[in-house]
Amino acid sequence: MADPISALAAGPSGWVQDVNFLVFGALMIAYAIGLHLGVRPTRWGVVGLAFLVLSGAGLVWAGLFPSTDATGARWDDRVLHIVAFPMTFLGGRLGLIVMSRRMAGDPRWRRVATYALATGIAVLLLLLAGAGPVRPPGAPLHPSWSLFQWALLAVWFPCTVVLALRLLRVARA
Amino acid sequence: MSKQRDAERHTRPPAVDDALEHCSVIAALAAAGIAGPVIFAGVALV
Repeated sequence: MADPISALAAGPSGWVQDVNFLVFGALMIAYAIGLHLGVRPTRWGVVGLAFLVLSGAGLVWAGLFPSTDATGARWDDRVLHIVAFPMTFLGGRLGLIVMSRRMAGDPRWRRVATYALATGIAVLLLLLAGAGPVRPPGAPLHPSWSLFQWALLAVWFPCTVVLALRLLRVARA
Repeated sequence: MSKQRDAERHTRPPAVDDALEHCSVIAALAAAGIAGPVIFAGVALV
């Protein structure tokens, strides 16, 4: 946890983290499609799916364009890799907020709709709060960048698992 | 027993088969949502 997640792609075994991004991205795209199929459709419901797929694509992107060069050395300014961060986090959280509105209109999902909405807003607020003082190299809180990333995941991952378990119950009902 | 099960399967309306298949697909996609974060965090933390 001392290093940013992207830094795990550095060094001789860095390819493991690249594959981890690719696998995670593919699984998140599959999960997004599952949510879309499992929640009652609405007129603009596909917007939530599009944002969630964008989030998964951001993870795949991070695996395809790591923050390391061919020698395994890590660079903080690799633009192609940096793009993956907003794709993953902004896309995913906007998708969650939009999807939560669909959930609110579906009796099978109503109980978790508020949790999904709160998670989406919490991660967005964290992103906004961290954009200036944490992310840019040289910013006052930049040494906490890796901890900040893990905090984002700590809010995001439990919600993903809770909604996936709910989806499993919906599928079995 | 297996013949009986086959007979039941053949008499089941196609719509029921479609619904069961649809549910299986959604269950598999839900499993991706559970496995994804667990695998990612596990690999990243090890």
